[in-house]
Amino acid sequence: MKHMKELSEDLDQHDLKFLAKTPYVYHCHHFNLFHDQTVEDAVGFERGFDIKSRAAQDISRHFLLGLVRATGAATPTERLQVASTVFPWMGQGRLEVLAGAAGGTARGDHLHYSFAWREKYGSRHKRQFSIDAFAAGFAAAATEVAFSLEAGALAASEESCFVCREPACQFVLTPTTGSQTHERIDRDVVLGQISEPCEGQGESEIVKIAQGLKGFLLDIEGDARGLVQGFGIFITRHLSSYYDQTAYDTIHSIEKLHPQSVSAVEGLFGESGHVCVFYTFGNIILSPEWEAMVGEPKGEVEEIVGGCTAIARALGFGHWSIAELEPEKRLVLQSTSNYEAPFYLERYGKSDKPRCYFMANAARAFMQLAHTIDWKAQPELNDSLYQKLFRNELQWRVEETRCRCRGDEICEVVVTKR
Amino acid sequence: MQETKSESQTRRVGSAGATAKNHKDLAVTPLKRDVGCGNSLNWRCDLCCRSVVSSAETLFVEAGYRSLSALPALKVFRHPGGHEIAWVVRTGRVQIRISSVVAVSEREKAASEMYRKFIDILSRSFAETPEPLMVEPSVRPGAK
Repeated sequence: MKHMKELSEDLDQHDLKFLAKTPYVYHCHHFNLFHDQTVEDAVGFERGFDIKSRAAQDISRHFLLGLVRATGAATPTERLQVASTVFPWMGQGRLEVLAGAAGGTARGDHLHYSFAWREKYGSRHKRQFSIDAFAAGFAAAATEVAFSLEAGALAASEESCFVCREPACQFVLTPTTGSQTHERIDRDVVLGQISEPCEGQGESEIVKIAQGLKGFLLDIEGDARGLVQGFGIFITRHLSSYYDQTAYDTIHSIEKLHPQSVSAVEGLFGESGHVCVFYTFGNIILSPEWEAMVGEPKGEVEEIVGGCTAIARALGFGHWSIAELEPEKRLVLQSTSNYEAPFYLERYGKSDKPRCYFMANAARAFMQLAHTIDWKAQPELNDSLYQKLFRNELQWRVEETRCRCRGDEICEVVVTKR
Repeated sequence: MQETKSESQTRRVGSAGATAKNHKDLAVTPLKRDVGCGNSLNWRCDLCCRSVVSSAETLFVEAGYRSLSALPALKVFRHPGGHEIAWVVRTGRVQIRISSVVAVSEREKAASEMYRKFIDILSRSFAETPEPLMVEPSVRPGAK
């Protein structure tokens, strides 16, 4: 069977990544936990788990269909083998599907979400509810694909979870009807929704750093547990459509049922941009890998913002570029491709407002990090520093002034000092 | 003649928390916590001599480590137990990464052990030098 690395494609011009034509990005456990928690906080545990597991199942199904085609896996055993091979490559842990055409069970060990939650919060908190909605949906999709079942033929639930201090995670897959499924959003669809890349400031240095990081990221290996540890974080190679569908389904649900709460929920999904930049980008900049490739950070604003832009490209977030940067005053970040707008346009059509919550707030976090962190002191990027910088002392406001979701040519975010 | 206290201390090689130094400017700083938001997963020391890299690399591999070095400027060695040593050749920064398999309460101990192994390999890479590797006691691991 081909190694997953061979099936991974980097569209360098657009800084997007695909595995068997399905878009994927790198995100850390802090972001993953925050994003999933936001869904749960917005609509409650049960509805939240439903939104997440169905999105996971829908998107994983298309993903696995592409993968079995690319690898030539024909029998149910071969197809389940593909699923159980790609899952740890994604940094999601180990998943064993013990199901047939009529459903069955699946077992998860060291699943990313439950393991990372215990690692991050377990010493201080106990959690009552299961958390591995992605793995639940993935297990259902793997079974559907293995046995050539119709989309949405199975429903998945998590019956026991490591996060609740059980020894492992157990899922039950049962036949069902009436599930809503969606069309595939793949490389061709995405290419149809993005425009020619634009160049910004500091382009040659950004390209150089991004290229170096891309190669390095593709080579990062997981461990025997199926987890990928790097830069002091747990990394996933995750399906970007999962983030998009869960976020937008949640926001649309709130828009319909509780319109007075929309801006709060949008704010939370936006805050995920802060979380990602602080923990992932920050730790990358402070890492030995960065020191070897780029050098020790000096802490200059242009250096940090440029570095963050390069990191965004390397992680597969799209072709972000610096249109304007005035330290202490303003950043204008533009994107001709990101992982939010193409999905939104394809799935929901044109919007009457901007929809790139993650990108907008990531840009804000670039400026906050560039202006407030003493990089030479190599600070610990922990929760109390995050709270200080992003809850108590956030100096910047952000507006998405142009958005492809609204019909504009590019997505553009403007960050200014409060 | 009785050894002075400082002479007997300087003969101890590879003690955890000690600074290793020889006449040829090899020095390794004490182990301390490094950046990285895992609980006690990342530890750091700094090496002040670049000349040992190629010989140390051979010794790491002979000791059962896997070389994962994807960048020429960064050497990464994975211990069979899952821990890693990442070494920035140009600056001498060394990061010891403890596998998250290890319970939080045991990570500092695991880091000290890896630090000792690292110093041991460095010492052996200098096996040809006539002068012994000298060690000065310093703060214990875990101090920031």
